Amino acid sequence: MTDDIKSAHHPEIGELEIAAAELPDDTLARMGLDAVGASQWRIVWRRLLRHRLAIASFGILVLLGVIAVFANVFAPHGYATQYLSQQLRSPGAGHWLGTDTLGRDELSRLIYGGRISLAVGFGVALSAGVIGTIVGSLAGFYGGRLDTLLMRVTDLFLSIPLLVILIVAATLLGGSVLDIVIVLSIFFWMPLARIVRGSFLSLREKEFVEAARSVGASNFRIIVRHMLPNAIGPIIVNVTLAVAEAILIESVLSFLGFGIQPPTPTWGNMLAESRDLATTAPWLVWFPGLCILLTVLCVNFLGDGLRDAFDPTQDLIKR
Amino acid sequence: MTDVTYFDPERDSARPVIAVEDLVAEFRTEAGIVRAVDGVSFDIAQKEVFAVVGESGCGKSTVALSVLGLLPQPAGRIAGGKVLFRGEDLVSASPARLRQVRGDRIAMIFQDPLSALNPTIRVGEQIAEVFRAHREIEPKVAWEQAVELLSIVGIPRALARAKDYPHQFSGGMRQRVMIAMAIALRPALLIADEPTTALDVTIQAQILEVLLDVRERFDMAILLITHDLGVVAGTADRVMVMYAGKKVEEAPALDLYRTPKHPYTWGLLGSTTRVDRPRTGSLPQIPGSPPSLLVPPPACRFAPRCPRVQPICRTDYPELRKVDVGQVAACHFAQDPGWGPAPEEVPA
Repeated sequence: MTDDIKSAHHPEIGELEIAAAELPDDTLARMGLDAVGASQWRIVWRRLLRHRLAIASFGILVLLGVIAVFANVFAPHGYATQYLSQQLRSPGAGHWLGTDTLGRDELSRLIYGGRISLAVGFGVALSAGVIGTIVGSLAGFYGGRLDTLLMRVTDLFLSIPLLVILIVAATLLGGSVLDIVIVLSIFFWMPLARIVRGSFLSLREKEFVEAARSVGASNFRIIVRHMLPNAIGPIIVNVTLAVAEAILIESVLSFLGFGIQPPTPTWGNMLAESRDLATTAPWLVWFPGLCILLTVLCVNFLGDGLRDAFDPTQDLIKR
Repeated sequence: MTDVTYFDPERDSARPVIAVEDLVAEFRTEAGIVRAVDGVSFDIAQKEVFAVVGESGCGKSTVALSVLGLLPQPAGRIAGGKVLFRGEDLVSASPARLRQVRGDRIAMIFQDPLSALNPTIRVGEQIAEVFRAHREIEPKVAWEQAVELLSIVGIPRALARAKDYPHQFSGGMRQRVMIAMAIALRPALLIADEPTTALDVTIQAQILEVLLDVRERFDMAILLITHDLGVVAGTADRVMVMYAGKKVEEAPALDLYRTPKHPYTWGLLGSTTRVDRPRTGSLPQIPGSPPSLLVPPPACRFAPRCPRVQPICRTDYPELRKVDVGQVAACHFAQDPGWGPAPEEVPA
């Protein structure tokens, strides 16, 4: 709010107390004022900038992303290059994060592994988020038979054991990153659909929805413009949690033989491979684990900041 | 408050803005079908302020929602009658046509402006949206129109305030925003459902002032739903009194206060606080409570609570009787000479 008042304060005119109706058409422009309010996204961005933790997290995520994308530039060694005389080296000069049982450089494998883990984590969270939001908002908004149908389908998906499906999928599909994202997305949208449906059921009864209807807004407009922004908090929290979950489930997939096959590293399969070495070569557990933890924490902080930024009633100053 | 403007049949004889004929609205509940509005007719002329009064649950809000086709779905439905908006029946109109009419030709303001405004959208944006829902208009122009509307309804520093969110406004200011939104497209009819109930008394007067002002400015008719006879007195041209889903009396505002003909009306008038009268103990009230609409009384619905109840009231339904120019009452005795409240029934 302080920002808006400042923007209405002109160095030569002072505080603007004039009713706009009394002004000629181009007055606003001549005063150098932006008559049209900033777009929703610009506002969200501006408020996000004040959320330091979220911005720091965002920075770290971007950094991780850049390193993963340009892995061949950043990695000191190849991810499959074996230094047979240097197996299970502890972290130190030459191999900063040590080597694994096959003498491969742990740092390089982490950098390459980030490519797949981040792609799977964000890909699954986003696509499952979209599916869940659409299903949940349709069910919650229209109610009745459509609601019953969609919710039974949701229950059906929830009742299928994930592992069985993954084993079947493993035999049918190739196991590219895209395949993994698709298969996991199909089994990640249900919790969000239920949450969104729940908030839509209560939002549907809100008077501002009736008011929107009374000014002739279409159903689509009511859902997208009036109801979704009011449900954004739980959606974002759920999607950020799904990022972490997807990164971990991907390792289960690799472990089962579906998904990314050795020697290609992912944080998940690096963690899985080193589970026997937790006492003898603990760095092989720590570093992939730390990468997953860091990503998940950053995504959660960013989600937290986003949720606050989307909620205009939140007090903005958070330091 | 503003002078009472009378409805002048000669001046305003053009066909009414809205004519409701024999409206029946029902709700399906678990206990059975409730007839919330049962055969109500009325019409509203250009620039007229028409008030509907009655206690909670008498069907007055259902009347308002029926006019816009906004009965809660799937429980509610219009079971009969017509809502003629400039001759066009809205009950049988297509959903697409109804959406065109809503907000454009008929607009509505709600009781609680905080819950009726979307908390996530700036108020200027919410008003601008009305333009975009109905007109091809550039966002910038819509925004400027929104700012102008805010200043019309008396929001100071409208230019800066348009960028604020609903929670940054006080209750009265929020209701002004609602009004700005409702009058954006110069509707022919403005439905105000308990517009002042959530506000304190000093703000109430200001909001009514704003309503009357925009009525003058844009030649709008207003359908004012309220349970507050004090609000009606200073604002309405004509008044309809509803009881248990039925219209029991209709009269020009002043006549209703001078010569109420239905015992329910005089009960309502008697239970109003009057600051211009000496205080005499506790406020009179109408004994009993409104009947269940699931099983309404067979004849006159007010009979169980009526101070003048006669045997005929429990057997025959009283049709609306004309008692004066523009005044009708649904009481068997309304036309009897001298029929009216005893002095102690309306503390005069």
